[in-house]
Amino acid sequence: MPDALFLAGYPALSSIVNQLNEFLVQRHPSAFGPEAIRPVLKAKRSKVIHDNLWGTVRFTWRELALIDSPVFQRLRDIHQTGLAFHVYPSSRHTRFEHSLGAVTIASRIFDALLHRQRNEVRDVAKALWGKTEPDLSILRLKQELRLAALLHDTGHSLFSHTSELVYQGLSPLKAAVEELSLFLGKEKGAGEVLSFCFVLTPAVSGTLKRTRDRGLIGDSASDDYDGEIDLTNIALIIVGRAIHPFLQFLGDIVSSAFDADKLDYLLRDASNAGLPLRYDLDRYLYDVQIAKEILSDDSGELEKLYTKIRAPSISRNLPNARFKFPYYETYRLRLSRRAMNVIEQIIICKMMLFSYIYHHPKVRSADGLLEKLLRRKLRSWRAQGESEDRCLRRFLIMTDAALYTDKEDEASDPISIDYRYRLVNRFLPREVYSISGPSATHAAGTLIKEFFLDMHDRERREALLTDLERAIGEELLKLEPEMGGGDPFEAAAQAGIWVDAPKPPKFEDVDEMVMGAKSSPGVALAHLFPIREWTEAYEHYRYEVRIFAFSEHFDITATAAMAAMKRLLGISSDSFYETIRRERR
Amino acid sequence: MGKDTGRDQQMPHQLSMGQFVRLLAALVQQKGQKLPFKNQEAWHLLFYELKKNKAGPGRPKFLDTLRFDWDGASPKCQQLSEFLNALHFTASVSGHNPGFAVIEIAPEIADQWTKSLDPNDSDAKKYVNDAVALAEREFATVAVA
Repeated sequence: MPDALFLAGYPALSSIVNQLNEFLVQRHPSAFGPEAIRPVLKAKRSKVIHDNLWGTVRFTWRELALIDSPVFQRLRDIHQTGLAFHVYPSSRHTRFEHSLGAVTIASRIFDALLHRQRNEVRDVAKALWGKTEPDLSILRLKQELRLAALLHDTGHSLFSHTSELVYQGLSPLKAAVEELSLFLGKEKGAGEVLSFCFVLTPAVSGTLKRTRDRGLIGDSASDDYDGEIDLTNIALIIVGRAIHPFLQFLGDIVSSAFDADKLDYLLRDASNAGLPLRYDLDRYLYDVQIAKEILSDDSGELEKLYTKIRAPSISRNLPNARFKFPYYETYRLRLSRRAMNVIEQIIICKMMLFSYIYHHPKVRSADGLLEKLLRRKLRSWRAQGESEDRCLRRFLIMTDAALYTDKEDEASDPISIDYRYRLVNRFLPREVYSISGPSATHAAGTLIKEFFLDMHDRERREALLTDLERAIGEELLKLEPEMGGGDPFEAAAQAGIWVDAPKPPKFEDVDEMVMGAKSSPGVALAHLFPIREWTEAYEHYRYEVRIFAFSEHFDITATAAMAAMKRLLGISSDSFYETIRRERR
Repeated sequence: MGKDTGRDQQMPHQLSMGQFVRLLAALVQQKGQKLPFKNQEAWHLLFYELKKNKAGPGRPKFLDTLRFDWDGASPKCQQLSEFLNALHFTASVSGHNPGFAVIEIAPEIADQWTKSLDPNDSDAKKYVNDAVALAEREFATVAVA
């Protein structure tokens, strides 16, 4: 099936695919345009790249064709951990090397499955493509899996997830996120939508076709696959699905609780920050396997998906005494109970990285300042009448270098100029107040608990954060009426005020990663070891809501924020505010 | 000093998911039914049933947009998972049993939630009562220590 035709009936996703293709063609005509000349020379059949984590790694001609294209090269300038290098100076690694690492790990997982369960994988291949030699189908699946791992982060914009918080609000992307989530029967984010759609562009398929047409040089290895590949399958694997429920384990390898993405970034982020965190990959590979399970589908979303992509030899089973909903039989990636130690290591690793890096107050401070800067940019583009599509195009163009160079639209906004100057020179906002679980044991505990609960109630969270920032701005104006031209939000912006309520790390997605008895659903991890107790302990003691402000506005912000919290949260005790104040004495 | 966050008496169709969960949990507990925590499948099935059944005045609006993932043997709502975990780690509820099998709301908190969030119009009240009855049935099927 021609790529992306299956998206008929999903106008927002189709529109994003078209827009991404236009972007690539217009920005890189020599690589993707109608008269594209790249690759100029014949392609090498394979090449090795040395990775600081995984050593010497071989890539196939298809992978090289995409690695050497602007779709992938832009990842060289998108830092994997955003602005964390403000705290960990060596955290300068990018999405580029992470994506190469994800290919390596995905490939090793696939090889481990073949080593252990070659017959099962062959049976799957035979069930799907009976006429094709199963071992050839297996090589094809491996190539598709590797390409999915390679391209899984192509949707990122500058400083990774920080910009995603801003561009996810663009209306075409909001509609596409909704459509993709419905299409897959799984909730997905804006960055994943872009990665999914990039793969489906004619620009990507054209690059692969031209590379093959120019001819290949070099010796072929035994596991090289030169036959046709299915870009639809690659796109689906990126977002945790596949073209058939039997191939669900491929989606799990790239997007699930213990996927190749996570296995690479945990070690890469720790290693580049200089943190001695490790897990036992060899043990993981020894224990990983596929297990026959079910995917329920009461709402019919999966049925629609598999019909749209014309999945071969598929049957949807009716509910029965054992299964409450209609379902598909599937193969999932699972770990055996013997792998409990490595599961613990991975979870600890993730918790520690949140504590040390992702939720570090200074990292959050830098991220918050950048987010505010990008929101101001977006507001200014919209005020100039730019369409939502045009704004999305701007985010696609930007990589991290834009922080240092992309200044032209800020000339009339002194606050944006100030924010950029501070980000570049590390004059970052400081913590003024920090509210954590233990601070809720105070007499004001009940009110703080309610505040925290609202922070985790998606419908109330944004409104409450906005209300709090406005209230702090209003209190600032009582003290300094000239600030921000008398506008409370602008006054808060001038003082660098940001109320930060980061999302805690998610661990509930590790449920059912562990094998159940034969042909039964996986076992929830919570039944095997105290994951809920661990995560609660982490969240209770390490999770904090913080109020930041620039150092020169520290005292006035402390006064204003206290008045605002008294008004909004109803906590009147001065001693509470003394407890949560973060003063450098 | 009073607060002006809007956490006042509200009609259930104006309640957010988090507010509805709080109200439901408090009412179910007051009926003597234990609230499962370690096994959250019953919570997801309950909310899936509520979402699926579109009939009935007084139905909270958040149910229209609640999204369920189909990635296993039963539906799972990420938004609900996030809130149930928050309910726990903020110490709004406690899990004294060794395995965190059930959660418990302090009686004075349950009283506060039922007073501040309980609906005052008859349609909405009936909807909440029906949801509580359904929750009692779903939760009763979960084996808890």
